[in-house]
Amino acid sequence: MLTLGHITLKKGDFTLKDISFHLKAGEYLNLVGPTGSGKTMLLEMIMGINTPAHGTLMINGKEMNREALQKRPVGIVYQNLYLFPHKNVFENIAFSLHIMRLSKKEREKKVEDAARFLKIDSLLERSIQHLSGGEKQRVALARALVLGRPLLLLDEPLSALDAITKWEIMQEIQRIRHEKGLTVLHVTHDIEEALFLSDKIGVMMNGELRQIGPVEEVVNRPASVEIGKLIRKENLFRMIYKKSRSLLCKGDFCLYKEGLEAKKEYLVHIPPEDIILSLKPMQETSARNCLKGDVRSVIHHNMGVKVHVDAGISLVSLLTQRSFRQMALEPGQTVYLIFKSNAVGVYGL
Amino acid sequence: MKSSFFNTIFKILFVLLLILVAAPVINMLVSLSPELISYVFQDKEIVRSIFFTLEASLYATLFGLLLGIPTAYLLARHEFWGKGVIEAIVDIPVMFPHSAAGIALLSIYGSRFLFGKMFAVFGIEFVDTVFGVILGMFFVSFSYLVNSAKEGFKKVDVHLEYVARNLGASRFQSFWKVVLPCAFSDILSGMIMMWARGLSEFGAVVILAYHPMTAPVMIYERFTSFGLQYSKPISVIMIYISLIIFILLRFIQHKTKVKDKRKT
Repeated sequence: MLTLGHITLKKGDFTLKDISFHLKAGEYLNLVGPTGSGKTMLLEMIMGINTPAHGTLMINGKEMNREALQKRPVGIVYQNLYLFPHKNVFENIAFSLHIMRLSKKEREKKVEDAARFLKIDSLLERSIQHLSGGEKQRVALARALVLGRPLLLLDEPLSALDAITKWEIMQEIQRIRHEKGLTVLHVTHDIEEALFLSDKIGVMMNGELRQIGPVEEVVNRPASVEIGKLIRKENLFRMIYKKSRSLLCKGDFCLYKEGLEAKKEYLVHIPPEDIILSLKPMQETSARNCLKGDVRSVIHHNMGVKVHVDAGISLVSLLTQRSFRQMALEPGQTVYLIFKSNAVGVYGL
Repeated sequence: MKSSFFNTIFKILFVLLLILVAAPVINMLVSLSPELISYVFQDKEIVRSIFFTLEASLYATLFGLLLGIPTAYLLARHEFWGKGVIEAIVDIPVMFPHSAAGIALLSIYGSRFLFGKMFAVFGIEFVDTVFGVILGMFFVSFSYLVNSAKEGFKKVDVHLEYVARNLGASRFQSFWKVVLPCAFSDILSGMIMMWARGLSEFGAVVILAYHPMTAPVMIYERFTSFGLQYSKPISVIMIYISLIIFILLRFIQHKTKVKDKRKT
């Protein structure tokens, strides 16, 4: 569907270096990376704003390097949406159909279908200025989708939204993507967005695509410490391995893990979702790590509840809302953190 | 104490300025009477010159629109070698003494000079013709339109164009259907300023094309030939016309501000 082969692109002082990847039809790729890593520049190259100096861009088996912007089979939604302020919702969605000179009847049908799909069919006569953030987002999506283009580019479309609307739109993007069978390339700096939405994650840094692969692979086996730090912001520690006792230690705090090299320093990660919290120590469990700690804070989140626990080292556990309610946790309460040794991800420094 | 002294001095100077500027204008505005209107409309030469001035300055503005909009767009959107020089060329005519601008125009568009000869091939002459009047008005006023349109284009995010083109629009279509409507209020302000500046132009026009007579030239002609009393009626009418244009401009600018606030 989308193939980039050794793409190099220079703009001012910044260069995208030798970017290659392939997306199959229907796949969802999230490009993550710090600000200024070249994500948007890459997206705009695919869109047709920038022409690569070297390399090949193929969409649906056709080379697109020199294809005019308006002829590329891609839809785009930007962070700022860029809805046309002088047009109402209907006119925004119908813009491309108007350019294609479709009849009024056809235009109306297609706009109504797209609006119904995005649940904004009651807003068609509204002016853009009178829409909420979420409604504007839906209009921008409808405008990008109305032509039925197979590739959708999303440039941080969720970063300006409040938490509730963001969660709602994330679910909506998932639905649209599955129902329309879209291939999506989504640029973000929010790793949680990427984890929720994508099949694949690509990590960009300094104009280079440092790693690309299935979500589990990138998350569990980051290609470098830098990537690990970018992907894993919680429960990430540098620890020394004590082979005689099969323990990874940071000061007095130790975790059980087998089969590593003695005295070597490792970057260790424990996924918050793999840490189970219990009010009592578990006797009958295969998990080798059971640590006692005190709840420090509780943060309600789109994807559950994050409980920060001080167990000699600060650890985060991600609970479902239901589990959290059942446990009725409060700051200061003593809990036990339980996780299996194979939940402990390590990579050498 | 000191602050109060400071405020008093500034208020006195402010009132002085108001009196200096407003007194002659108010004096002229209160001169409007049924007799004056009747006098003006009975004098066919005055009526003709007023309508001719409005018409010629409108043509100058439309010509300015044709050449000025692409110029303003290029200056707003692109960085290129020599951009500063082009911006200076756009601004300089406003700085010229307008009689000097008339001499400059005559020295190249006069029938014996380069452009004058070139245009004569197509039957267009500038000395003492409608074309000369329009050219004089255009020369001294086009920068108002270009600068206002340039500011308007700068306010339109280039990504709106990218999105329009991504939706299938050609460059021209994205300009016509997105950029131009979004910058419309600034372009309209620029047009009104250019039109107002054009219809009040005297210096450049009087040197390049004394005839057909525009209203400002007629005011001068009536004053030098017959004195103050005979030049006043047409002056009063022209001041009223300028005032109406000014109110129109302020109204548009106010509407634009309200609209921009709503957008944010």
